[in-house]
Amino acid sequence: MQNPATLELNGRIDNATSADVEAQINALLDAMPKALIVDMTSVNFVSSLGLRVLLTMAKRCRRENVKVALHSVTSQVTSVLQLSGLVAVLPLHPNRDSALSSVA
Amino acid sequence: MGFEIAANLLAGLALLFIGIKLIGENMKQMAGLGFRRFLSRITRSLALTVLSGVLAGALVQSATAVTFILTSLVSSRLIGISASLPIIAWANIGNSLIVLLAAVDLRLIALFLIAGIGVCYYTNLDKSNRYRAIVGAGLGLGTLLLGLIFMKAGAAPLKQVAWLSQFLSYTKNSYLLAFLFAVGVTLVAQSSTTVVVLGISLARAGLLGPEQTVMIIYGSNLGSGLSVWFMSSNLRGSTRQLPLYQALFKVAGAAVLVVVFYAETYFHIPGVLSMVRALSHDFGTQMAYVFLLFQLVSAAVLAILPSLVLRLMEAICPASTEEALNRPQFIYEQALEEPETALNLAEKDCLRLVGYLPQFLDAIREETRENVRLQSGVLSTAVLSVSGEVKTFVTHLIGCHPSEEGLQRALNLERQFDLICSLSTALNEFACLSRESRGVEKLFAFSQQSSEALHMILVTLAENMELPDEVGCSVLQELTSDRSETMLGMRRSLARENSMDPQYYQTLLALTCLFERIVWLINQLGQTTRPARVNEVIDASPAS
Repeated sequence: MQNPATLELNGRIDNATSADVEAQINALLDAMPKALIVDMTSVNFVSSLGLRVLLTMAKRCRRENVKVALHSVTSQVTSVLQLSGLVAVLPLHPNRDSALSSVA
Repeated sequence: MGFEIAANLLAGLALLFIGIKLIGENMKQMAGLGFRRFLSRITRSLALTVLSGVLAGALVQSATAVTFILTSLVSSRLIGISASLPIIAWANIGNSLIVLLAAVDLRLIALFLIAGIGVCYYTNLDKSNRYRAIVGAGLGLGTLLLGLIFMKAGAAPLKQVAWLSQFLSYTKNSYLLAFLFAVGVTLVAQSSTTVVVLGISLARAGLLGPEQTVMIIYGSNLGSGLSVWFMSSNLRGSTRQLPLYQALFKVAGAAVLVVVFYAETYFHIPGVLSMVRALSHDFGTQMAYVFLLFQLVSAAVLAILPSLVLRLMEAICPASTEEALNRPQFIYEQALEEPETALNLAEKDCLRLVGYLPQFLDAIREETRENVRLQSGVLSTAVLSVSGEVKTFVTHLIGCHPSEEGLQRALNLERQFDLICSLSTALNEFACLSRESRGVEKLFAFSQQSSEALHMILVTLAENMELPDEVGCSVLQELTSDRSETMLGMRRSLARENSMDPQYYQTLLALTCLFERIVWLINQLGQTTRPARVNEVIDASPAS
């Protein structure tokens, strides 16, 4: 299997940055990878719009049969993802290895 | 005497306001399509408009009261503003006609009405679902009429106030002073009749000339118009247009007739005085004709310039944001004749309300709380008001025997509006509780995270309801799946932070429970939406 596409996100995913994040995700998915791994280590805030970007990514991955996984999510962001229910469509993993093995 | 006059006037005003509010609140509950159609039939027919206006003015004996009753009907959306204007004009005429004909005892009407309402309360009709609103509106009308009686009773002793008569007699050398004096006293006494009667009695005693009495009639009419405008200062938006119309009505009459008066007095051009002298020899009857003529001229002036009057009213009292929010945007009564169109319109109003739901959280979310356009309470009122009206529309539509598919859509819409109302109430409570938790760091952080999460789910719901697709529907169901375990974990973790404070725990419990309820309601609302393709497959399956 080809190597999964990887994306490292930083800082806040909010009104100011979400368009840029969405563009990065779309650029990666346009290359039609088999899987996408998102590194959330440095993300400290995700707003509603940021959650929408992640949801759109999850939907697109589902439509295009691309496996997707998030890893190293901070506790604060984990709470928001749990509250939003996104953990049901975007699996969270404690580290990169775990995420890689889930999409293998 | 002064205290008694003031007490009567203030109590009368208070009862008038209570009555107006009671009528408005109960009329809203009576706002079914049947009652609406009845009122629209009246306002569509010129003869019925004239009759209802004249009767209302004559029976209530106060165009001010008729204006406020109509304002209640307008704010309950039972009648349109433009349809109410001729009724006000004719009520003014009806009110002055009663002076010429026989006086109806307003006191007796009010007392019998209140006695009847008392019987309704005694027989528990006020608790019956069917009659509660009618009884409430009747009580409102009785209270309003009682208020008018108090005000009239308060103003009546003014006729015996020596300094007032003395001052009025000073105006015999100045027509303008008589006019301005009548405006001022009517504004304070809230009764043009008292001032006119006082003027007529002074004229009969030779203390005033007929010219001054005519100016007193004009001035008291203008004063009563202005007093309606001042009394309506607690109203907001376009509901204030009717009091404005009543004020403009009197201003128009006064403007024309004062000019005619001076032309007649100084240039001997035959005018109102010559006309009423030709009509009757009795001074009292002549003045009653002047009173009537004032209303006729006012009505004629405003009738000549209807579009200008409407434009002026809209410019001075434009519809407020809340008003526009509280009204359905798409449905209209005539659409019921075409059930398919009616359903499409009701669905559009439903989508509009779903679009409001994310905005309930604006006051809590970090990115929007500095610039909140509409508070959750305002939005909640709007959602409940529009839902109620569209649901009545849909219920009526179901009674019109739509097709089987139409019936299914209508029933689905009813369920959607019920869920939207529950969501609106829960979101409003959540927003209020979150605002209250601002002082407690952990709780506020939780409410902020929750509001970001809920906002995202609500926006997804709105998108999904507008353009449903299979993936979107299944993802929404996953997002809103049962999360009681997650919430229990969060609640326990947050409770550990400050377990000794019962207030903290109570708020935490309320916030988490509300969150769960909101998510569950979104889930249910999401289930009422089916993507077109899924429907097609279901429809096609029996045939294949």
